[in-house]
Amino acid sequence: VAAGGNLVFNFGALPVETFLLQVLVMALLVGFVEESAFRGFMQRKFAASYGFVRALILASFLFMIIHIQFYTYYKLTDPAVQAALGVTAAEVSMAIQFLVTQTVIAISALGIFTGYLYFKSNQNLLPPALFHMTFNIGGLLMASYSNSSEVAFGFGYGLFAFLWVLWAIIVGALVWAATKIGSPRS
Amino acid sequence: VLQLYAVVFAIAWFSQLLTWEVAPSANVGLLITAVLYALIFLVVFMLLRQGSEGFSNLGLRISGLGTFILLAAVLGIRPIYLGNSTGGGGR
Repeated sequence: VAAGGNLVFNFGALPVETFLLQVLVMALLVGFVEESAFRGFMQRKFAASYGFVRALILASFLFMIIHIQFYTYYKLTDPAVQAALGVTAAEVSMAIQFLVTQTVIAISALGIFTGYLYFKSNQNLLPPALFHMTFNIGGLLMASYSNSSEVAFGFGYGLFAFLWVLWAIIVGALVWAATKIGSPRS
Repeated sequence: VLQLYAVVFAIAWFSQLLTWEVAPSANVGLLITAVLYALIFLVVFMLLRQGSEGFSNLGLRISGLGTFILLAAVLGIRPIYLGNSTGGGGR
């Protein structure tokens, strides 16, 4: 946040090309591939055997589990890594609690919403894939508006979470509207 | 489904491991992730073929309006990006 109160996306400590590569890989590619695996394949298969609601819950749960980054959390407890990031053990502990909570709540919600979009759009993968991509871009933008370690470890918790949820709601509403327009009539 | 989940789970872990232990820079880490995710997509593709379902079952359908919105979004990103990179402290 700039001195005048305006939000400035300055890409933090990241070079612009790294940020764009992040968008390409972590948002566009990851969003599309995860949706094809979890909604396009798993949820569809589960739905054929267990029905829509159980399939939605099961696929969303499996989707959430792979997002809990145990190895990353383990590495963050390494004093050498903490020194490199310039953070204390207490800050890391708080950050891990925040990240796990955020993953369980936000990623479960993401899985349920994209799964529902997939169902409502008559099993069209594009609406959930687009939502997932924009959700990830939102996360990257929020994380890069300032120095990333500030967001992860400092004052940025509340603001980061608030902006990300706001982004998700706005984009979700737009994709929801686009789904209704673009879905084939059944 | 279990086959695919096992692959996705293993790749998710492997990706973290490689990113932390092997990748010399953030960019290389991202490229490793890209390769691993391409591998996941290949597995999805192979499983669809194996089950004789065909790729069309994945459900990639887009309307004319959707194509227009996508193109507008892609073209719209460029000026937004330029606006940020030339002013406001962007690098």
